[in-house]
Amino acid sequence: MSERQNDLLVESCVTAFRERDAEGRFVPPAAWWDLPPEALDELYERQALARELERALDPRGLSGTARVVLERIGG
Amino acid sequence: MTDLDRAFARARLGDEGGFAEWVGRVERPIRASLRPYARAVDVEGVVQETLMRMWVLARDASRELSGEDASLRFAIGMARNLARNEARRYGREVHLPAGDPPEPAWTDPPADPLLRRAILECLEQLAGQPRRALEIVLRFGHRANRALSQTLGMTSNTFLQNVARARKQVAACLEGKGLDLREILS
Repeated sequence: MSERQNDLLVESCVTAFRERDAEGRFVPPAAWWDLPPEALDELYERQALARELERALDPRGLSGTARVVLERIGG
Repeated sequence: MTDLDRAFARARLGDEGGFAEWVGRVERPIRASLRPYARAVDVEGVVQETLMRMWVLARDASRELSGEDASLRFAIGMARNLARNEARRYGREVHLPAGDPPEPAWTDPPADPLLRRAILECLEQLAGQPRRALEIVLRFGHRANRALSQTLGMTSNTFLQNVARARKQVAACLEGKGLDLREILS
């Protein structure tokens, strides 16, 4: 896998959006399964930064993760 | 009683605002507690599932949590149990850490006004398509990438490339301001 492909796969998993299966369990993004261990470390770092950036911009200081959860319990 | 305990007490009364405040305070330490599990499970999914289950627990009058910041300590234990269970379900036990890793240090409140200001300054320095892509992700990141890329009229790959480029620029900008991101986010 080229560095660019790897980068795109990691980026596609950074999002807080998660599909749910029929039983309501979260489903990892399809690309997550293709990531080698080192890329999963990189994904963790990017997600942590992404959530911090989301918090900085959100009027209530909430990340995308928090918004997903609050939307689910509110809906 | 700490601010964290007060927020959780409000959540126990069914106050979603109280729960939102509690989530804002605990998300970072819960995520950091899952760092050793990042090769075994989808950390983002486990964090979300933990928070969902804590809402259910908060609403269960028969469950008692005692002690300072007990809700956070309980949530971290729950998150790690979920991670171990998910790793087994995925057949990825080989990537689980040996034993129970130490819990990360954490401070409350998690919001750091200086960090927030630095982030906003760095975001301001972005330009063009990377800026457009990252802005929509940061505001609507709880929506699917496909929908966001269509909104901007970009292909999925172009969209992801722009987001990645923008985020790297922001990270470099923050480090240029002397902020050690690994330390801040750990």
